Amino acid sequence: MADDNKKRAVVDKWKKKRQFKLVAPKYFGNAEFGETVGVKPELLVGRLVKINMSILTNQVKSRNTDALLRISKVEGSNAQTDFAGYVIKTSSLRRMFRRRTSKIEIVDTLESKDKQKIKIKYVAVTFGKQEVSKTKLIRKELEAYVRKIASENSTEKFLELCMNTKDLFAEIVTKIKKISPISLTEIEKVKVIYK
Amino acid sequence: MPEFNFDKEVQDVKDLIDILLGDVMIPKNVKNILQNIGAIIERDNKNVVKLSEAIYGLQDISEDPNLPLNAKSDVWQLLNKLEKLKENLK
Repeated sequence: MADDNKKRAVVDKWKKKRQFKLVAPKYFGNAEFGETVGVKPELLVGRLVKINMSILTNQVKSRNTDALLRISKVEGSNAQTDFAGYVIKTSSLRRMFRRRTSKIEIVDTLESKDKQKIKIKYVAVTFGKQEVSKTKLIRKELEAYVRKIASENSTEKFLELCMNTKDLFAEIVTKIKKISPISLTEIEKVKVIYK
Repeated sequence: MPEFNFDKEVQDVKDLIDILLGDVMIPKNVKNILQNIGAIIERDNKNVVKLSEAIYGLQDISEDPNLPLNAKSDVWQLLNKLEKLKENLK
């Protein structure tokens, strides 16, 4: 057995592969941000690339988020990517909360105007510990609000809105204030679900 | 080597200070010093003497034992950026 294995010619798969330049989506200015390898251009389509947001936006502020980009089409040696969501690093998220506060975590699957499914995970933190009845009410209000916004916008527009979390939640936070004041709202994870 | 952009570096310093001020793990005395540095950067970012003052303040902070490690690396990054600004003005 061992001799047979030795005789078999070893084909280096890496020699077959080509390099493709990754091009950022329009929202990030169509800039080149890296390279990927593949045998055929068709095989690249659908590949998810994770990259730090500060490289794309050129701002220090967004260094704690990782952007998810999906290769949508390949033209020559350029692989065009689509914005498919983002993830906040857990280390930075942990530093946002303290003791004696209520943390309301919501995981939801939304449907955008163009019938695309989006998975979202967001958190709201109150000032001081709150009763369960109040947190339930806040959860209900937040869920309804985010679902409404998703259904009114296209997937691309919704993801762009998600990038500016403060503005996205500004309206609902003032409304929820009557139930209990909110100290922080943050989107932990947004991801477009492709079939 | 990428070209040095003064305004971009100033903006980066401001952003870094904002991140540190928003961190709940950082002690109050450190935050006070950071606020002063932020004010200096806002007002006199082209004054070498003021920038030196900010650098000395940051050096004191970086030796604080109550500062978490992640914040310490941010403070070092801030120091690096301020030194760059100072060198550019000379």
